[in-house]
Amino acid sequence: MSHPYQDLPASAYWRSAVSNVSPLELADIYQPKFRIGPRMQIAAAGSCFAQHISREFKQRGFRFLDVEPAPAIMPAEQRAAFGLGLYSGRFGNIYSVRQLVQMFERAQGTRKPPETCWEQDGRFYDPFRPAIQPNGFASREELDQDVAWHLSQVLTLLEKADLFVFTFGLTEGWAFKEDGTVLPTCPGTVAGTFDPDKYEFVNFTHRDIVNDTRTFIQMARAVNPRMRFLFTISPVPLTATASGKHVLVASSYSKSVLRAAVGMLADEFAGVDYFPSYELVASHPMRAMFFDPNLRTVSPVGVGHVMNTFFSAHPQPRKGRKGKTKEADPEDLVCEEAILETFGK
Amino acid sequence: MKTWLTGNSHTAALYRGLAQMSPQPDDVSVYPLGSGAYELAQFHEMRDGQVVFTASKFAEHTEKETGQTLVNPEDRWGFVLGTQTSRLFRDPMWRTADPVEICQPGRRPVPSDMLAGIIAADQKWVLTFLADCKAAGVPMFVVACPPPRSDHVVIEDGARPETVLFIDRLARKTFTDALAKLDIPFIAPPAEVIDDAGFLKPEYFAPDKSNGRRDGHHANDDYGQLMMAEVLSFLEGVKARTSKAATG
Repeated sequence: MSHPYQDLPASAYWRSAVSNVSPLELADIYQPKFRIGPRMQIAAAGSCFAQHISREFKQRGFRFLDVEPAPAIMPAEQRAAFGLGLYSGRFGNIYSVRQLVQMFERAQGTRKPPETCWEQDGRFYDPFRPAIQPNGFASREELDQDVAWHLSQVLTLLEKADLFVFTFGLTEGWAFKEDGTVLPTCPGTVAGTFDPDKYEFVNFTHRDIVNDTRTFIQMARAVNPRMRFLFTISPVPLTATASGKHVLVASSYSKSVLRAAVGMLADEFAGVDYFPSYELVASHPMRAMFFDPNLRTVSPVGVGHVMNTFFSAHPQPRKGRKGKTKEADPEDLVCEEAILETFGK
Repeated sequence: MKTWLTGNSHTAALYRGLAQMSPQPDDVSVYPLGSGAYELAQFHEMRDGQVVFTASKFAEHTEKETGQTLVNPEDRWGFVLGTQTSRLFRDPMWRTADPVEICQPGRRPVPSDMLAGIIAADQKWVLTFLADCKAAGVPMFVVACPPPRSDHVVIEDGARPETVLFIDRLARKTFTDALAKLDIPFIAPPAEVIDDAGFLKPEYFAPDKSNGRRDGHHANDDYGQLMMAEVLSFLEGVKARTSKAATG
């Protein structure tokens, strides 16, 4: 008598898909729902692991959106410190989908957080991007102008992007008690002052994650009905937990909730796909070989493995764009000619 | 003491200006190191306490003129380096952005610390070079590049004149503050070449290149003469002080 476990592809059986193959050669672990084509405009946001995805999209010649690009004259080594070139906007790390939703609500003017500035030692910090500017902004006015510009540009992402890539980071966070607006970091860690009367710990549930993600999808498709979504989960464990539990247990909970929620959403929406970066690094067949010695941060080899797995399913659209030779500025040519004409050199 | 006046492409106007002056000083020579693009990377190193040019064009030009690739501390040196601010204000970003202090609605405000960081990076290698020259005991001064031109292509492309001037002034102040800390004299353009807004007056614009390429950047021979008069006046003052010190 036949049954559903007969005649499945090799990837369906643990022995043939995992036990009997190298963890570096897990065939068909990523089977894309849709192709990422050369004309597709891509936006990316999320926890710190999303930076790798953003960088690779750019380097491999995809149409990656950056609505707040770094000035061309800014040295590459300065850019990350100012939050430039990391994602599709200068929004820093976005650890939860609720933070993402609320960022767009602020951009649309439908959310007015209780605090929009933290002052510390004469410097001014954005509570929603506390590390975006080394040592904060020089004045409150400067901060306000920067936030207004930032949110105006963020809003354009929903209009421009054909694909929105989001890397879910964790379920724990901090929020204003007053209205539930979520902060990316606990006040008092990067900037601000912790006040238990103003801020509260939140640990998002599976239901929260699913509902917030549905809200984001609706919000994005209200602007751009054809937008598609690619979700990933950061394999980087929590650096600390405020849940009262052991950090390993808390981390496992966080990632499990996210994984279950994203799996459900990917099954629910045709235009939502899941890429298993979490499994490629953090699952036990990998034997933690892609983590640094702290067993938390992902090594460059691990990042490379994840990216190669992803992009082998999405071939580079245009060869030759990577490493494109920078053309000389016309003014530099004029300078050379000024020397040549005068000195004959 | 021989004086070598050298630096980026703005030395061309000084050379041509000097050539038209009479009488000609016999102890001052002008030659180019290379275009301002070289200032963005290390172009020298210290060897046995002396400053040696390592950028091939700088070394080649210096050796041809002086017979050595080093900054000889037995001579006096005037460097036309460090205030080529067009590298900063010609960035395409300024078509739609302003420094936050003067930002107009609808344009991107560039935070003050971000601009300061960009300026510091732009000036890093010139200031490192000058500090090393100072440490090597090289008698020296710095000569300014001309003020920005109001016909610079970046303004046609959408950058606000106020933005160009703001960046130019901030970069020059940053640079001259650093020179003051190093106790290095700085020769600024004379007031008569600058218009009320702060641009180089049109009568001092260099013409377009002989191949037709537009030049919205350099100054002409008349400017060169005026700047050389400032340089020679400075050198006379140095000689007078040196002479007084020797006899006094």
